[in-house]
Amino acid sequence: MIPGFTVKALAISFVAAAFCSLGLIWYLTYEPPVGGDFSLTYRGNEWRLSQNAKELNILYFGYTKCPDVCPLTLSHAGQAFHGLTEDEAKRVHLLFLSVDRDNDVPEDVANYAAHFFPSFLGLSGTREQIDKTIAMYHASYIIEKDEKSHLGYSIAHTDRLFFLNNNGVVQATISNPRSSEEIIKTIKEHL
Amino acid sequence: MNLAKTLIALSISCGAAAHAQSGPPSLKINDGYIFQPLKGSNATAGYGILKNVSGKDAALTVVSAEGFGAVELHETVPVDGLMKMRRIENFHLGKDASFELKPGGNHVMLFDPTKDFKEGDTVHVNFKLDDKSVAVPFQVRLRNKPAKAQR
Repeated sequence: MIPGFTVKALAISFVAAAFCSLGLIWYLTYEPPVGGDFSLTYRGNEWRLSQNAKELNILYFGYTKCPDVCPLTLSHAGQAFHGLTEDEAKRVHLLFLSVDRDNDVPEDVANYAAHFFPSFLGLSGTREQIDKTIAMYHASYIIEKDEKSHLGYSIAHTDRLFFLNNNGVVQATISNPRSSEEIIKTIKEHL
Repeated sequence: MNLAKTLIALSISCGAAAHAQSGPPSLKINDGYIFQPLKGSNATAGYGILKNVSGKDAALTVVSAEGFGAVELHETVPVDGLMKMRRIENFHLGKDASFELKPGGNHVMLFDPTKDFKEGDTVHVNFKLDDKSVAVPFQVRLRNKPAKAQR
């Protein structure tokens, strides 16, 4: 055996093994970015994130006739915004997207969202726009008929705040928010 | 401050219950409140801690509420990662047991307000404890009050 060849082969093997290991670690730990640009409507006008994004954008999916979970989460978010400085509040807004395409009037959605904090935007869209945005954030909703209820239906939906950068990419999420403190903390961490 | 509010709520509860039925009240509420209906929505919810003082186990159903077109009992439950709300025919209240209606859980759902409500208004919700009618007062509270002002 040629001593020089052995050393060279060992070195090549070592480098190859190192690359393989790094590749494996990357493969096992890599998480592709979630989110991106999306197009919806605000008070009947076209609204695109890339044209309206702030430094931080908080996205929430719900519907105006939800009497419990949506207003609970939006109330905590509204309280969180009241806890921001004036400068901080200018750099972030909340986007409330109604998934109740058939029953929520865009004007109502906008008025409803603004009730929780003046800068909250109530967004609507076509069914295709809504579903595309929902899928982009790995969220979901199910509309179920409920003949026994006065409303006639209910919507089970993801109860999660998505914190997006100005490209719409998720930076953080809070599931089932039940206090304003965690929301304030997360906003401040990402401004 | 909270004790005073609790005592006021209890005394209102007793008065309202006495108004709806003869004899001692069968259902009391502590800190009963309804969020002011919001512009853009036709639904809101009521919460509080109910106590069955009828002397026996009973089924609680809801019949009507002053100033609303319809009222139902609902529960909110997590199902497969989604928050789902569904109508419940009745809640079982054990003898002398308390039953909490709270945001994100069991609640009274109120539809189609027929008038404007202000903070502090009282809404009487009419329940049935088995076959016995009882009216329970809920105070109207604002949704969007800043945290410092919220109780």
